[in-house]
Amino acid sequence: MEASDLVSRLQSLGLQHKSAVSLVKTEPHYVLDMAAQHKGGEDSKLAVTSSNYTIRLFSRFSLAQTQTLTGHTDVISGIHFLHSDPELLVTSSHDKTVRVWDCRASSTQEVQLFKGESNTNCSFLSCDVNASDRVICAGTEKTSADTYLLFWDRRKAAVLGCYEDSHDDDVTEVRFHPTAEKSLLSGSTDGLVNVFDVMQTSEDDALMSTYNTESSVEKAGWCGPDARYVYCITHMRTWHVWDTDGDEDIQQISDVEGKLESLSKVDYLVDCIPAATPSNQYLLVAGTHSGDLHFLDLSDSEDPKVVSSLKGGHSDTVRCLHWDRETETLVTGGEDSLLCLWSPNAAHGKEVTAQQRKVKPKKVTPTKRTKPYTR
Amino acid sequence: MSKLNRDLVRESIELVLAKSGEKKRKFTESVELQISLKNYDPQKDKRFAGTVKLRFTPKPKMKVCVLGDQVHCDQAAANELPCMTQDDLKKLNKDKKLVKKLAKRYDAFLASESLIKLIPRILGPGLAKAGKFPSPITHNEPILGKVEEIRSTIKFQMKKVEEIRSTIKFQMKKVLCLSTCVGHVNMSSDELYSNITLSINFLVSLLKKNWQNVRALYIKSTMGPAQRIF
Repeated sequence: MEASDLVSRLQSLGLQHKSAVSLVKTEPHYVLDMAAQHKGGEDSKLAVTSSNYTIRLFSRFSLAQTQTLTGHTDVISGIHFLHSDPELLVTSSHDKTVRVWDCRASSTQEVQLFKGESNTNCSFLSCDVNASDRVICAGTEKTSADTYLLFWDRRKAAVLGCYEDSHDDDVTEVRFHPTAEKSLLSGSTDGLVNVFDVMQTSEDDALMSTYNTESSVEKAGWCGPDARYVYCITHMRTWHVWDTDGDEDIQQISDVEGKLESLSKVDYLVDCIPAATPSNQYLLVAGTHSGDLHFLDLSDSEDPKVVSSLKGGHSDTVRCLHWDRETETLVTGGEDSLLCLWSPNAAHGKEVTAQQRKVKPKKVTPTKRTKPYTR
Repeated sequence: MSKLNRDLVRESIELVLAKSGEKKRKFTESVELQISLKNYDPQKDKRFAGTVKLRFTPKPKMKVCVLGDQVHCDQAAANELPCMTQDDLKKLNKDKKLVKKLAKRYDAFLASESLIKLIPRILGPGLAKAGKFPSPITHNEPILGKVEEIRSTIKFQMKKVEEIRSTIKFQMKKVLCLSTCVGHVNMSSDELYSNITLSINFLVSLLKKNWQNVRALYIKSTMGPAQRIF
């Protein structure tokens, strides 16, 4: 996929379907976070957490609700599907538990439950499972003096290990590398993003690098070629990208909204769509409190461009998104308790401008394989 | 856009300064800004946290240490700033106690870009644990300017404060407030005014509903009474 291709595909997105988590109008439950099954395919599932402590399962491509998982007794902070068994789901919550759910089993009972021990028994703000599904990691809230990163072997209930020195405040994000099972990143409100090699025996040796945002980390993840880069969004809407290999700062933008042209207002940053292409392009998704979304091309730090906008879907802050590369569809969830599915072949709404309608013709280059007898 | 009453803020600053002048303390009182929020649910709304750079330094006495390469160490020495080279850091030998001691000795750290990558490997997580992981500094910026920037940057974060009201039944009321240091009593009222308005406007701009999320604003000196300004 060429870089410009991705842009044109994003530009061709239109609103296809909306789905509500709750129809109660008075106080809408926010959609807080979502995760989709890694396998892809027609019947792929999307799991969504909302502020009423439930996990709802939807079909990724029609947004038909299939199931509700209940059990957590406080806000669910993190949600991820496992890689090898696509029906398993891991969640972390402020109720001091990390649970594994099976979508095929009972919807009120988790299949596994992990907890901290004595002093590490505290609220979890984030969780993830590594590429080989062996290790589950969760980041905690700061208790009296310490804040922890806890690890469990998925086959046992006891805590496998714990890092306690690398952060000084609430750990808001933990993310394992999508393919390398030993690489973990963690982000915290103390402004630091740490990268660990979890195979090392001690925390001192495991800590590979520390990046300082001088702010407070909201979201972080892997992007770029071979997911080698670490990106980070802070609570002050700053954007950072570092290279974990070359130890080089790729990009730091402190006021994205200030650098945009005045006609496209941006109130917050939602997340990044990492393009797994040889060219290291990634697009940043930003939004307004009235629900509009903008895709920003940040290849020129001094002059970020809005490559496309999505309007008419949400009416409030957008909190999370999932981009599916194969079907080129986007699902977004927001504080208006709506889920929106954006797909390229949906009927174009009124807001679609001429520029957005323009879809670049795909170049078909014959490869050797198509002509086996000419040599 | 600002809903602050100019005269009220000025008046309150004068009052805070006057009250603090009444009784001499053995230290320089700092001036704090307190914000309480409404229509904000920390469980589901986005976190409210970050840093603000003020125009006038609220903490001039902050001790900043430079962890530098040769160029930065020379610059630091010329400006009489404490500095340490990579070899000095290696001497600590990743010893947790020594790193902790180093972190305790200074309020903040600066590190050359080439060195900052190596710090987790040389020192381990000790500085991060103390909440004092260095900020990067390049060769292009003057070292004094960066030190000044560190000294004038304040951190803010929303914390849940649980207030217990002693009625017959214990009622827990979650009060949403935060307080940050915006200056000290030896600053002029103009400087304080500038710092206070700058930080208020910045903090409010980060809130989803801006001024509709603000219940009240207070300023106070460390030992003095609070003055409501909004």
